[in-house]
Amino acid sequence: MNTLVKIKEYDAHGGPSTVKMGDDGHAQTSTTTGRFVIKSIEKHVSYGKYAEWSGIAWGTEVKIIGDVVMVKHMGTWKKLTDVNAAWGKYKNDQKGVKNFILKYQRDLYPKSPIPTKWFFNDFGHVSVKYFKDLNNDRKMNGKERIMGDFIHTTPPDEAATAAGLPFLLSESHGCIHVRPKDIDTMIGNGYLKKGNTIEVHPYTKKVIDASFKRNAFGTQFEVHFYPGLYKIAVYRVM
Amino acid sequence: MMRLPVRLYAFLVLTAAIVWCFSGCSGGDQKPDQQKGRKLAKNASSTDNFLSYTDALTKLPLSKFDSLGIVPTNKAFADKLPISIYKGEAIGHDSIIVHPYKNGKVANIKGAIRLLVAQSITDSLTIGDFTRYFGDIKKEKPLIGNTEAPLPVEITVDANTALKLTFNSNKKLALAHVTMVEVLKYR
Repeated sequence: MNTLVKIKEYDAHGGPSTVKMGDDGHAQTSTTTGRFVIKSIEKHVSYGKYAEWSGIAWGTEVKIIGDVVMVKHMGTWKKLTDVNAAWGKYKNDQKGVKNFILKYQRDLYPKSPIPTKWFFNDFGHVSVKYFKDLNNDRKMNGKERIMGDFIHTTPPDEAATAAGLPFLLSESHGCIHVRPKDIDTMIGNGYLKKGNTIEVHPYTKKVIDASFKRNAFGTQFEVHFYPGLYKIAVYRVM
Repeated sequence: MMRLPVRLYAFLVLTAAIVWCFSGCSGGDQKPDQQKGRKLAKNASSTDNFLSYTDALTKLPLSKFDSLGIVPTNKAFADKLPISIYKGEAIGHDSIIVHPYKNGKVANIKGAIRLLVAQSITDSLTIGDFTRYFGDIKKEKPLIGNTEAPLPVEITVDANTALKLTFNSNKKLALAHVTMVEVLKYR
């Protein structure tokens, strides 16, 4: 067993403590507790219930020609409504799509009302994905799957950060929301790194441990989320 | 001898009921502005105080949307609400963080005051509280697809002013808890 000593704290917000139905008809669940291994750090692209706004990677180039919104998808300029089936439902309403994109852009970035990049992906500029390591080999195999709970930012928080405005992290559907600058710091400093451990504590835990013992499996840092305290703590493995 | 007092009693009850009924109906017809004062008159809760504070900010002209311009309003509510001006420091959940800013000429919205609502107030402050106080939510075209977090809603206060409300998702919008309020000035 290794001794872990807390070195940093960051704001973080998970799902509600008990399941509730969101306004979009999708259940908001609590963030799953336990110890997990980071599988990947990447821009998330959604193929499921968020396939419209999150079906296009963060930062993808955007341009508007007449009433048509175009995106540079996989290196090729395409109509937005040709990118996937979810957007394809709106192919006969190019003007409606354009007006909605312009409105969303204006709401998020009032000083830059014409979009040049896709800043609407719900999972922000980068997502940290992790899995439950059932056989303790630190690799995702067998029946192990990436959890639905990612660590990520959100479009309004990214916009507020870009504008230098204060903001509160919002409640998620189970993911862990963090500040854009904080996720960059945690990745840049190697706290969030492929193969590192993330531990999600119970909502009932109301104190951030200064230190404790865990099997760190040779890693240098662990990231611990305390959903009841809206905090992430980073621990150095001693 | 007993019949007259009974009739008189019935008449008084009926008259009182009619008066009550009509005052209730006219109350329902009043615009939100006319109801505000009465609502906040007695035993103002933190929700009432917050709504009243927001109302006072909506009445400020765009020229007052800066850290100096909001001082008198903040002073007036200092003993009723935990108000803090944002100074770039870490943001806690215990106080209302206030941040006025201007957007410049390009933007449709020329200036705004952002209020990050303290957790203790969010716990009891709903979208329904705002609609009862300020009026209906602005009608928008339905959202294309889903977003992970609900998009904010707006209430038009007057020709130059609107409120933008950010809230935690809830099946019933009126019951959704408000986490951030922005007072927007278009002119």
